[in-house]
Amino acid sequence: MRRFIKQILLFIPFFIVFYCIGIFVFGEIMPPFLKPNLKSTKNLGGYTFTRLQEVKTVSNIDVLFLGSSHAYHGFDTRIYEKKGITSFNLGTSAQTPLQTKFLLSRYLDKVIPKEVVLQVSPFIFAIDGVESTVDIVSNDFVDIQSVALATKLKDINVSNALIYSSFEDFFNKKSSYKEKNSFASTVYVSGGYVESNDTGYRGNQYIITDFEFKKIQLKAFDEIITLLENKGITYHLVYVPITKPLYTSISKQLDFESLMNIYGGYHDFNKILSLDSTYFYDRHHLNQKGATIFNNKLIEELKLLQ
Amino acid sequence: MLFNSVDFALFLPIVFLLYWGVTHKSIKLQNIFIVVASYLFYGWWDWHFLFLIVTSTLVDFFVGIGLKKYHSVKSRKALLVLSIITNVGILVFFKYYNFFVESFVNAFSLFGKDISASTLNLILPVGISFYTFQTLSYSIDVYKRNIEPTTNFFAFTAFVCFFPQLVAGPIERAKHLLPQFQKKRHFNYNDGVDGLKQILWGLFKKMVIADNCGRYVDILFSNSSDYSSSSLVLGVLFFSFQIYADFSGYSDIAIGVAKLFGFKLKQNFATPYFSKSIIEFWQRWHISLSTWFRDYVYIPLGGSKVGTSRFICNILLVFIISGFWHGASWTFIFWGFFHAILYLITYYIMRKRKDLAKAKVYGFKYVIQVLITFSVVSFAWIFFRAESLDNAFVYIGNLFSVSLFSIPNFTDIRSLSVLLFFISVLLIVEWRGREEPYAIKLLFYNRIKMIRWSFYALLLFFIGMYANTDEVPFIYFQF
Repeated sequence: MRRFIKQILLFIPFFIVFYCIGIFVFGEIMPPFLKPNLKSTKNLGGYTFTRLQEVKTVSNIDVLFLGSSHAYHGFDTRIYEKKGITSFNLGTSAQTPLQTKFLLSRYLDKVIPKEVVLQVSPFIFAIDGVESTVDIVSNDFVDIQSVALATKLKDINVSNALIYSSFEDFFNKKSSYKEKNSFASTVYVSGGYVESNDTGYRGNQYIITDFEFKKIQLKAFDEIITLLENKGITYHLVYVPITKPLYTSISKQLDFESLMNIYGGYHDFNKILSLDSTYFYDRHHLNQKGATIFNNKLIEELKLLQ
Repeated sequence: MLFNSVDFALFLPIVFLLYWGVTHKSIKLQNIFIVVASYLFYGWWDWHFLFLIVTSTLVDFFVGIGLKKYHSVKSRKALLVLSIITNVGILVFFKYYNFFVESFVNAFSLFGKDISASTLNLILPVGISFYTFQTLSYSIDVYKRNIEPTTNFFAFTAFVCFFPQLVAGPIERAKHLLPQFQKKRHFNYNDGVDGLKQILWGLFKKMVIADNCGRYVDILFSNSSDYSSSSLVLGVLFFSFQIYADFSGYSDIAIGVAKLFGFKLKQNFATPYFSKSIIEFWQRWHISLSTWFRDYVYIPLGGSKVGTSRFICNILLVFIISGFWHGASWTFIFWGFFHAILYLITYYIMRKRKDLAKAKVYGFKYVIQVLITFSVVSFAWIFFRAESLDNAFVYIGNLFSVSLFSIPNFTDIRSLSVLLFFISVLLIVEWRGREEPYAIKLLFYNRIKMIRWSFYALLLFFIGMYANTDEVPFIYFQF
């Protein structure tokens, strides 16, 4: 038995080294189809790398925006700037409460916002957060907090991204990296916003989607609110407009509304504004025309900093 | 709890260490611990259905005791009937009730009579077909005086619910497994290493091959009309490898885990896709089920030692029941019937051509025979996989068209080539290890440790890099 345990204990470090080298080699030389569980999130249109580089230079702002792609396509920081409000958009692709909490714990004390706007929707409570964690882990530095986040998700994609990102940190590959603008219709705007100048989206009818809110996301959301309350930061929960067919296809809209109302400060802009498909560039996201209307209304509605 | 889950990866070492570190001094303690661990393993999925296992265990244990105590034929028969009614009753109610009701209603509607009968919203308990067959065989064997009934309650309970093989076999016989629970187990280093290797090979087959084949199979079988014939041919090919890698992968993991606890389970697969006839295929595929049906259905019916018409009936009956065992659907019944026809055709051809039954010579002729057998078996899988008989026939209809010679149109060729590469790896490794109980048993056996370890680490790396990241349940869990 001792021999057996000893051999296993010897094999584990051998395997870890083998695996990590394998991840690095595959990450460096293999084309994407040969590394399905080591997904690159760079140059995918979310500009997470650029945003996470920029946030490190930001401090003492008025408003910090967080959330999924609805956030970085929705909150145009330039509009706030014109009104004398300094802000930063820390939205990342498919960001769920788990990653919002992670980003807050990493950047809140550095950015020091007076108010926080959290983009919320039923979608973010219904997904596991793997896509977003891979996105953040790949594009930011790795530390013990990233490892803790990866451990929570127990997903091989996240673990692989974490290992590869650690190598990138070790060889200082991220510092020289420049994110390309791979989508012709979207542009990264300093401040974290992603502008889309698409002229409109032809919305369709969607099958009614029934969401199951995940306990792990509800718990993380609760912890975010507690964190903000403890720090004395005012928060707003904002449901950014989505196309009407998509909005009406969500069966749990009322449950979601009740959940958000428990926390207070909830604003559903799908009800406040009535935007047709010409204000969107796809079924989920506002185009520039939509974002301008939405942000002006948001400032008016939320009475930010008043 | 799934073998391919993080939960099991934590559960297994904890149970292993407690089993050998804490409970090793007493057989009784070890058996009680196995029962607790097994109930926890099963209850992880849904603890409500543990009462079915407990019921089956209690009934068969006391039926065994009763069969020892009572000698009159009448009493013994009554006890056997009690065991059969309990086990088959559980199975019929949870697995087949809705099927019978629906079939009854449909049969009446065919004659223009609409009758109303309500189905129940029943959940099929995982592994029900496996443990009921295992306990049932115990009662039958005791009744036939093939084995002595046990009076060791915890050994018997552990035999029924032993977690490695509880939910999808191999279906063990009391004669083989029960004595192992009644004697002291000693940890054997070689068995431990062997077990780990077999688990690793099983995980590779399940997570890299079966689950990735499954992705494409789901797409192609859900709407076969949208795809070219060449794509549908690949769909059939992928399902053949999915079901083999999934189920034999599960069996390898189960047998490997059992080895870690000092138990030897039966081999369940013996490279069935290298069979040169349907008859040989059934000697190598899901061996524990095939032999169960042979011993408890086919032989009691007279087997082959009866007249031609009776023999044909016996074969048809055994295969149809075997198909029905897999699921409450006409697709499985038809699949069983189809195999029965193939079996009978092969049987009569082999009687005329004795050379087919001769020992293997690995030449061109062998390759052709294997390819024909594989093609026929794969074709039959269409009925097994399809949602309904209509869907199966639509799939077959779409299979034969001019687009058979076109480039598959359901995914990009590059992703496809990765999967085909891994299927080739599987075939090569399984061919090399075809004489062994599992394919990688002797692979790199005589090489230095660094090479062997690199090979195991490479398999784990492939799992990490290519596994389907959703925890996909094993196909046979639904049976």
